[in-house]
Amino acid sequence: MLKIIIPTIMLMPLTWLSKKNMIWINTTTYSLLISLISLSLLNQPSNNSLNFSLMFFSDPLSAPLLVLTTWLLPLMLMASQHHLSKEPLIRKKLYITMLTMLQTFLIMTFTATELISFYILFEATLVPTLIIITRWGNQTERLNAGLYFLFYTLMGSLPLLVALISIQNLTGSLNFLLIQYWNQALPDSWSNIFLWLACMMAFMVKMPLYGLHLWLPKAHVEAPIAGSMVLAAILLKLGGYGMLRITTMLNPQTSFMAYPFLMLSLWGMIMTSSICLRQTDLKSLIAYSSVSHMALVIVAVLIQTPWSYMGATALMIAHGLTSSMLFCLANSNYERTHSRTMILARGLQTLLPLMAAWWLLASLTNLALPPSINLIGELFVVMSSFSWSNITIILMGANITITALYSLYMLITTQRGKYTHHINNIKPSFTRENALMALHMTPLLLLSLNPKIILGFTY
Amino acid sequence: FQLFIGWEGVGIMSFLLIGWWYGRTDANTAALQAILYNRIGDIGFIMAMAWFLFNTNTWDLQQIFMLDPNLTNLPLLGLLLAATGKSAQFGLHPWLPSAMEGPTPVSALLHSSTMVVAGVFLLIRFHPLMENNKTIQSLTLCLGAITTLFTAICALTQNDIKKIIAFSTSSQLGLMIVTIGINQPYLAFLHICTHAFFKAMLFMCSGSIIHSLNDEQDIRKMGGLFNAMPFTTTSLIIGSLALTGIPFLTGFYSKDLIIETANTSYTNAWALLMTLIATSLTAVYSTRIIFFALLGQPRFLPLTSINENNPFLINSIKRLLIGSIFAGFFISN
Repeated sequence: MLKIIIPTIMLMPLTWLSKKNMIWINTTTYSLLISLISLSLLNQPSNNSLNFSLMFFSDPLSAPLLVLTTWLLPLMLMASQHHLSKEPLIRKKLYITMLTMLQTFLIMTFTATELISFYILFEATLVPTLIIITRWGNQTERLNAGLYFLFYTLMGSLPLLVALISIQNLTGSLNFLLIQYWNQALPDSWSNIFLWLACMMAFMVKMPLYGLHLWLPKAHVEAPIAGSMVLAAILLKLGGYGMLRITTMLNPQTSFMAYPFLMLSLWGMIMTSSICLRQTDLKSLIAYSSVSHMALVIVAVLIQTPWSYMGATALMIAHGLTSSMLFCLANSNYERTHSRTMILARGLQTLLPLMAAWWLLASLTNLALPPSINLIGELFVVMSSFSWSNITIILMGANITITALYSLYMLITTQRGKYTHHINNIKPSFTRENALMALHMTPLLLLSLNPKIILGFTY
Repeated sequence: FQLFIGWEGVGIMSFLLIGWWYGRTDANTAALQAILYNRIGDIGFIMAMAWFLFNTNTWDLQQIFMLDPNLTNLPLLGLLLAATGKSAQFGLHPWLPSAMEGPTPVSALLHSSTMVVAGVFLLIRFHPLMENNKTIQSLTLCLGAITTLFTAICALTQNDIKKIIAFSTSSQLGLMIVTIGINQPYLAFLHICTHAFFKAMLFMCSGSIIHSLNDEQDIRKMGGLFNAMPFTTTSLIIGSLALTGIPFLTGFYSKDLIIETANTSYTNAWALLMTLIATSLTAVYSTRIIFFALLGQPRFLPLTSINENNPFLINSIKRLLIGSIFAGFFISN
């Protein structure tokens, strides 16, 4: 594990010591190499986790998320090149340093063994993200967005700290490896109910759950492209990952405590999808679609069946890649028209057909077309929720329909129809942009061939 | 699962092809409409998949048939919903006429012969399960009957040649669903195969007419093509005759058998009556096309380049023509 963490930390001196015209090249290349190292972790020989040390480990759940994180750093760097091109050199280096710091914390979070270290790093990821959103965002609302982001997440996670400390006192250790063997049923009492709530609320806010999701559209919309990418792809998955880890110790309360959250998620899934149909702002549409997909993950985690865990992990990885790609596409529109309104940049298929092809692929995976891994995730979740209760299929089915509708609505509005009259002075697609989209799509398509890797630890 | 992949795949291809002329707003909305109705049907498909997974532990058709579960109402309802969405049965039907925004070869391939029969094909594949479930059979029968009557009546009042043929497709699909409802899946499959020939040919002929009249699709503005486009006229007439089931052309072998079986089987009399009326209406609207498009005096603009000299078009129509006449004979012997 140090093989990955130390090089990532070393990326920071790399940026500060590079020459002016080499900063992007150096950082992108080295972060790509680091991601190739992390791919070797995917080879999990046994059902137990791969333990590297007392502090870090990786198992079939965290390995795909880790690879996704390391894979996204070079993509984020490539995506940020354009909007940072006019900044002074020191600010560019600061930006890359922020991204790298975030990356380090994320890697350590996904591989943490102790829950307290997981918590500390979980909170630590907030700081670079906040700096990126508020310093390099584009509109004045970014300050408000940063505020919402920070305080929502803090309010949710402070109870988690209390809960973790109390569990440490009670059971003597918070090590993941030990907890698997220590696990006893929690007795049914009021304090245990609060314990359950305290543990889960942090992750519910992070996911986000439908009632607590207000920070997400603000943060996603105001963040610069790399911020949006990392937010959508990884930070939301931190919540899912945390939930998947912590629900192992929280039985049997989960069977009745989960009902209100399940109802909120099921309903919220449909509500946020419907809001997407009426959005005018492109990034906001993608943000709400993230909420909708994550609600599916929440439902899957709360049902706690082997199939639903598989669906949740597959959906997390698939959604990470798809959302990140959609944000990159939205950014390519933004860089040309400097506005996020969808109808200002329509009819793009006439002018930029290759980009239209990427738009098509991203929209198709967003609506979970077979045989992509998005479908596999969604299908597994739908199957397991059908077994939990037959009626949920109606809500899930409605969600699938509305998802298809808004994804294609997004596609049609930006690509098809008559183009605007002010469109003839936009720059053609850069190779960098096409490479970005290809690098997003290729893992998605390759994983469709062998989804075993991302199906998590209940396969 | 593989069936689902293909199922969704054709849905998306339908979206892409209907919206082929993407500069045109109507085409885009029609494409989106197609996806909407298809997706609603897909919910049914997924529900059936979920039920099968949890009651028979498999998605494999052979295993499901071997296990022969009781109480198959829920999944078969799901499959019926899927077929309704995909094959434009009554309730999820509006996308098929709107899908005529696509180019004519698209309509010929997707929306007359192959894709729309995917729904019927699904029901045929699951017929061992449907044999045992009388409720579902009655439901399919009534659904099919309503569809064929409703769309046949709609076809009578249309003025756009492609829409008439689209409604006729919908009506024939209803007929296929009726056949499944009377527990004759093999006949339904036969009708799929034979219907493909003459419907595709009808679409191609209409495409030839539209193209040579400079994109004029309204039959009130056509006329007198009998002398101007002899080959197209011939194929159109033969296609319509085959559609109505004139003896010894292709349609006879499947359609007439269906009508005979329906008449002699112990089935819902109301559905039977609706099917018979719809079949007679088939003759009516086919004759309407022939009358308006081919006979009479020309009603189009005088300066047109009517030609039939595109060899690709003519060869395709020629092959479909031979198929329309002889295929029924060859398949059933």
